[in-house]
Amino acid sequence: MRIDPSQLEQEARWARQASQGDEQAFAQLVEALQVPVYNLCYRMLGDQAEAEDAAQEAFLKAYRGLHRYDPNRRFGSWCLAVAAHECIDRLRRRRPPSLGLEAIDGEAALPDSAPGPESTTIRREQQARIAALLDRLSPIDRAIITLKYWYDLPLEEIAASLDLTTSAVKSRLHRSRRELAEHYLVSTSHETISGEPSDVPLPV
Amino acid sequence: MSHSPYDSWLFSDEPLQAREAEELRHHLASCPHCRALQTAWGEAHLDLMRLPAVAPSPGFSGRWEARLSFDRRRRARRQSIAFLAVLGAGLAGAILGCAWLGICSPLRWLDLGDLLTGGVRWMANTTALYYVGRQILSSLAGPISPVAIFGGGGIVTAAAAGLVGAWLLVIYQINWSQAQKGAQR
Repeated sequence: MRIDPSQLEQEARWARQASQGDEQAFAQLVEALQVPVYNLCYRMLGDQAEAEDAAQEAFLKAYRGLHRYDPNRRFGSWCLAVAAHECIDRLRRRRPPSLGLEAIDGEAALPDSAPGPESTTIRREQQARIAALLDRLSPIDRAIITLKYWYDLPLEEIAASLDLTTSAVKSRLHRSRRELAEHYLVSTSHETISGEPSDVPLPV
Repeated sequence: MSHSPYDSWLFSDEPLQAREAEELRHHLASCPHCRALQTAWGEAHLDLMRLPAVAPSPGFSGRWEARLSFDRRRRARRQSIAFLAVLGAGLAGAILGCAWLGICSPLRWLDLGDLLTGGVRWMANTTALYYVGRQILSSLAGPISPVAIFGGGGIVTAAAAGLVGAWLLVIYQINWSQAQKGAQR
């Protein structure tokens, strides 16, 4: 999820104004950041209603905790950190969740470049597969994977957001990748087990 | 077959050295398990990267503003309840403290009931004296001229001031003589 520099400048300006008590500026931030924050909540919680509630609560907590915001940090990243903590708390409180295709059906994805019926079906299958994979990870590992692969945040920033050390994030990321690969293998009953080596690039 | 350290290298974030990459390629060519894991992670990674961002239903920021104002009202109500609870607890504590002093303390005169009745009695007596004095003055206002009233008032005030002065002088002399005796000792 790439953001252009002018949007970052605007975000920083609104954050400054909001810190000085401008409620309208914070409402602009909510408008600008609603998709990334909601998307993070949805990817972590796998339920639209709960994601909406968590995203709303995250923005409320961010608004009330504006005095703790460090202006040297990107406001969007700080909001994502608040939302990630909110989701981790909710995941810890609730029983093992389940996410089926019916939950994916109603979601409002952003416009696709090729929104034909075939691509929609493929996308839904991917969503269901990924959601089922993420479901198997611990709340913190789920947050790390989401922040790394959807938001492309540096490891240091993920560590700061989740109150972990960078080495702990690296080690959790390594373990999560392995878990995801193993579960993916089981879920798709991979065909290449005895085939030729794949062309997926090595970590060189 | 041992998969170590190849299975660890497969999921590493750190770039591999040329020799390690060569060893891994060699291992993958002969190990179906690690090859399957590598392919699975590659596809899961692609799926992760391909998924589009999901947007909330329209009107999210409006709902947030409504939630903010609801939250403010709820907090104000909670603060009022907390304030009333503290006030009530304080009053109850004060009453219980007074009652305890009245029951347990040897200073029985601190009894709250006595203090209250004494205070009410004093106020009633003062009010009664005021009314009696006002009646006397109003009955004298007719036969006696205003000059005589003011003159008489002045004399009474001067006499009272003289008495107070004499009283202060006596107290001073007593204290002074006691201080002299102490110095002589």
